[in-house]
Amino acid sequence: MKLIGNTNIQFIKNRKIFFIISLLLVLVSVLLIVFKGFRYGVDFTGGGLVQVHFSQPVKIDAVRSVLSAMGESGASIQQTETGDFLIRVKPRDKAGDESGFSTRLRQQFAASFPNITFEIVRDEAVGPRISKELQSKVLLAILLGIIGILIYVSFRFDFRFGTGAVLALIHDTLIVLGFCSLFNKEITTTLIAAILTVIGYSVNDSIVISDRIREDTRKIRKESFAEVANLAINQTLSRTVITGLTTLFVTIALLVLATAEIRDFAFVMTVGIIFGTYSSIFIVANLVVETEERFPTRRRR
Amino acid sequence: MIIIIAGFLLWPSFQLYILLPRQERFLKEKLAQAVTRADSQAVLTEMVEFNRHKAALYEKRIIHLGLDLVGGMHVVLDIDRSQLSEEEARRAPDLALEVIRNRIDQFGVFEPTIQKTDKGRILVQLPGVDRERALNIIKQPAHLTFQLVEEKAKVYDALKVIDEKLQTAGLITPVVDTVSRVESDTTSERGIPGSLLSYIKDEGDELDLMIAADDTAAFSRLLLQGREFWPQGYEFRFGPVEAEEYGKVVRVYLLKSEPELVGTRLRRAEPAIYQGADLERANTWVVNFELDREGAARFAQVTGRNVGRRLAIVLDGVVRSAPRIQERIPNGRGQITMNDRRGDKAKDLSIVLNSGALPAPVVVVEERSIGASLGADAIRRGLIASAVGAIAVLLFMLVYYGAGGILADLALFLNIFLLLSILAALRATLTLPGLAGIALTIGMAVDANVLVFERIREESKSGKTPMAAVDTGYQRALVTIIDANATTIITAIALYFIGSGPVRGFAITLAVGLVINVMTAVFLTRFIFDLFLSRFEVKTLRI
Repeated sequence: MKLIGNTNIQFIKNRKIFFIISLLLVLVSVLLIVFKGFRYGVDFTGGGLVQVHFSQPVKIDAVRSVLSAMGESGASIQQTETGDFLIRVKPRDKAGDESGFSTRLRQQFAASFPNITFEIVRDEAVGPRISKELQSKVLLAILLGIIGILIYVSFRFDFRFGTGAVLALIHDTLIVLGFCSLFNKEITTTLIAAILTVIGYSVNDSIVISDRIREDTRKIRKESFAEVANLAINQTLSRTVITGLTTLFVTIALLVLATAEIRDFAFVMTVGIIFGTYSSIFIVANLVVETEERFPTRRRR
Repeated sequence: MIIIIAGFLLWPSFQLYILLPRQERFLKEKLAQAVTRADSQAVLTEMVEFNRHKAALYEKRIIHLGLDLVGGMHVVLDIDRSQLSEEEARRAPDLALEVIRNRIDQFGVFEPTIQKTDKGRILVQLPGVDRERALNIIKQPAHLTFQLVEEKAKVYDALKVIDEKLQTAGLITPVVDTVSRVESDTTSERGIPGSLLSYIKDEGDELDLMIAADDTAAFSRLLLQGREFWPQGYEFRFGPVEAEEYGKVVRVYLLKSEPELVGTRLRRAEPAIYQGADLERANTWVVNFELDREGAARFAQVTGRNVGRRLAIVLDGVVRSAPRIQERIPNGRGQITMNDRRGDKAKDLSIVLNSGALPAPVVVVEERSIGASLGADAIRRGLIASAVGAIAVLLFMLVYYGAGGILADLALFLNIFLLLSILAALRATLTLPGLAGIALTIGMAVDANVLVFERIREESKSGKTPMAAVDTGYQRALVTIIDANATTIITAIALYFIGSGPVRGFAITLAVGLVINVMTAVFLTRFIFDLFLSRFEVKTLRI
């Protein structure tokens, strides 16, 4: 069976269009990130998150009044699709102990709803110092990842491909972050893990194409760099699409069937793979061609 | 060969997660059906044997399930070093670790993790425990002292003096929220509104002064303001909250600051049912303790010299009980009474006392607790989702590449099998994101095969013989495969640095998955291809 036969799509000639599409996408994402921002999880803001499951339906106002009775009127309450309540509070218990809020909440629930049993399904509390440490760790990890990739790609190919791949991964990451902001996804360490994986995937994809460009430039000497690049993209197109598809099968299955936390993870992966695949087909090689035409290297004559 | 080793590595995990739960259910049913005493005794013995077997399996190389999958709590503790000297602060983490480990061992948790992390913090992970009890056990400083108690009249006088001094200093300002209280309070003649004495409730108890539990904060604030006017060499302490007919109350004690004896001299403590004359304490649990030889001698001396006076047993600054010394106690035995009808609190306090005091109070700086039901649901749905995704990938490869698809699917199976066995060998912890990592590896695993097959298709098209097409196909694709996977492994390494548990699990799964992936997809399928092509005359490759 064949999905994609011999293609000769003009990826390079029409690169202006793709650049404009990408620029628009990135611009919208950046605007979303700057103006709408993110909902950060407890990992990064510090504070407490308690998820409660009641054996019988409870009104959100009842929960709110329990919290105000505790002097926690600043708490945010949110109901999940399964009817659980997610309660968030700002960090720092008076004693500097982060476990205090949940303990008091349990007591208060037991006193306020004597006839309803409840279960604390999830309970997270992160002190302000820990959340700061985590923030810097995450930044470090992302930087480390990007620098590592840049070094590897520059070493195995050359610097132009390296910058091309890195620009593409920044492009992908920004778009994914834009989607996270748009759909109000909570930024947690798990989500960061998904984003880093997207980065890995995006580069992986870009490399397959760069590899082919390099191979073809050695083989075919008559044609211009742009034409060779176009050929390489067409040659690898079926692989790019098929791998993207099989990975999407899994992430979509997770997105539809798994529980909330995994679903957010799968969401980021799905968006990331779609745009990662898009960018490696339409952007990476075009960036390399663009730099090649502006600053020709001696390798091509 | 590799398959045998992998199978061998996976066998304990298989036993633990697939066979044992079945056996456990079976045993429980058998126990429920047992009629005679002898029968149930026999089943119980079997169960003991079963649990021993289970515990032994945990020691082996198995895949551990993360807290997000089985439920339980993860806490990071920091030690409050503000009261410690430099030398003490340096040793504190190790001491605290030791104490907490002892306590948890006695508490009896299956498979706890207790370790020091960076910056002298302590990480405690306890699968499937009651959060409140566990936190109590972990956090209780367990600083035990024995201090002499002043009689009620003296306490009253002392409070009166402090009140007067505070008043002359202009420090007593009627507290707003007490005004309404005072109106209905029959004891308001004791002092001006907002003074220490105005809080005193004095209903019934001949031994101690009491205040309403709700007033404790306001009362102690006022008390602290008058700190300099406290009787020389004495300190005020409260008792635990007690429920009386007219509401919750707290006793106020005046204790000699210098303890007669400290808890380090404790030899052992154990919970027991109260056996004494006090009817109110009937059917409640107490903690009996015994002092070591030196402590007992000191205790005998103290009790001998103070017959008729009261001696408070103070735990972490709270007066647990203050019995009157009837006679000299030579054997170093005593009792802490508690308001505990179930026995849990007495048991937990015994554990805490037995394992000694923490070098300094600890605070929870990070906590993640997950209810068992959430974990069970997550793992079930995660597995279903992964299976559906994997089946979709398998089918697609089969339809799209035909015979080659069978090879790719075979490689994929082996891939997952090897991945799990390596995770078992590393004693890695499988977390929810880790599970997603496996699912993701499934999706990406076929990439190497896709690269190879696409290449072979191209080479065949350009007119090469199947043999040559396969040969060049693999050769050309290999470089690309290695480059492509290397970058993903770089991100996996970066992920590992973020380092919180679940993400780390994901990073390991991803990295190991990719390495195995290259192995199975490239070398295994190549081997089978070659075998196949050298055996049979293949005219055209159907890939």
